[in-house]
Amino acid sequence: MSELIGTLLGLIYGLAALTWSLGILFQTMPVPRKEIRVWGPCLMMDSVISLFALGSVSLVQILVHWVSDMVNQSIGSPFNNPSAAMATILSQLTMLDTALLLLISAVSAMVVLAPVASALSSMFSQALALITTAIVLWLIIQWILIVLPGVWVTAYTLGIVFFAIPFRIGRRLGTLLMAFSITLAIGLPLMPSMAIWLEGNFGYENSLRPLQDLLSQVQQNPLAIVKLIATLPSILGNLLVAMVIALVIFPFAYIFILSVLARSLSNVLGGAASGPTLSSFTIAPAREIGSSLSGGG
Amino acid sequence: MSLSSLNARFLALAATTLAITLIALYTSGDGQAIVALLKILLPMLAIIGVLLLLTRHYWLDARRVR
Repeated sequence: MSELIGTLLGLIYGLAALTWSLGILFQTMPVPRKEIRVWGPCLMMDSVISLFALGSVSLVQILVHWVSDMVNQSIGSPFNNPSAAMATILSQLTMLDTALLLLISAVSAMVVLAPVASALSSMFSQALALITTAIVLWLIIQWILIVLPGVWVTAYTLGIVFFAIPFRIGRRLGTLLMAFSITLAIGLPLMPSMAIWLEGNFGYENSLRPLQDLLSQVQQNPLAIVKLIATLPSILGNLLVAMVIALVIFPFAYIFILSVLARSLSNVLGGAASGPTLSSFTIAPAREIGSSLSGGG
Repeated sequence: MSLSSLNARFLALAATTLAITLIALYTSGDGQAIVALLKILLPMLAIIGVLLLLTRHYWLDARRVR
């Protein structure tokens, strides 16, 4: 925690007290209009709820630690060292990029193989673009993972500040901030391990090995590419399927799933709630109607 | 339930939460955060207190909350 969080906590207390006193004023001031008076109990309730939300800051920290510890201990291997998993992913991607570039340059060094080299480069250009995109994406995720542990508690507290503003002005934004900070703090550190785990299930190593064999043969003797040309498309296809699914599509899908989770969590926290309706607080007319129906007037 | 007892309950809840927060900050050894919290909380409470003092006829009475 830092000075900023202390300031935010003080701000939340002040906003809660302000909301409560505004609620009392709306409840007791002689305003003749019911749709204004109805805000009174609503404001008082909101301020109590924001006090409870304030009490949840430490609780949420404990929850996040507990969940990540539980995942680390129960699932094991790729999940107990996220930074190693990230390093593995980045080294794999860089190696693939380099290997494809080296293959093209080795083949195009021979004048005889110039047509093959041009065909190869048009085949591989898509793969190279995808791999480079994946490297950029994973580097962004790595940067977020470095920044995240110091930031998410502040984001959560800022969410409660918006949540505690009177008249539910910042309620949607506040719950969204709270929900996103919790889901990202739990979900994002699991992402590299999950990708490695997916790769392992997909036989990434098996589809990578033929390409490595091919590369070592071609680099010793570029003319060997002519014999290997029949197997090249299938090797490339297997490799691309495994890599695209595990390292390119997976991050987008994972982030999408996290955002859906965060949206529904923010709805649970009350982000979808609008202001009070008259019927939610004035039950008296209904009671009167009911008694008049049963008692005969 | 009368308004003044509701007010008392709210004050008790707020004081408990504040105490818990201060204890949590103190045990985590974060003196700066405590100072920052009090620095912003006390002026805000003073402003709200003045507002309540000006409107005390409304919130001090024991009218029943409907």
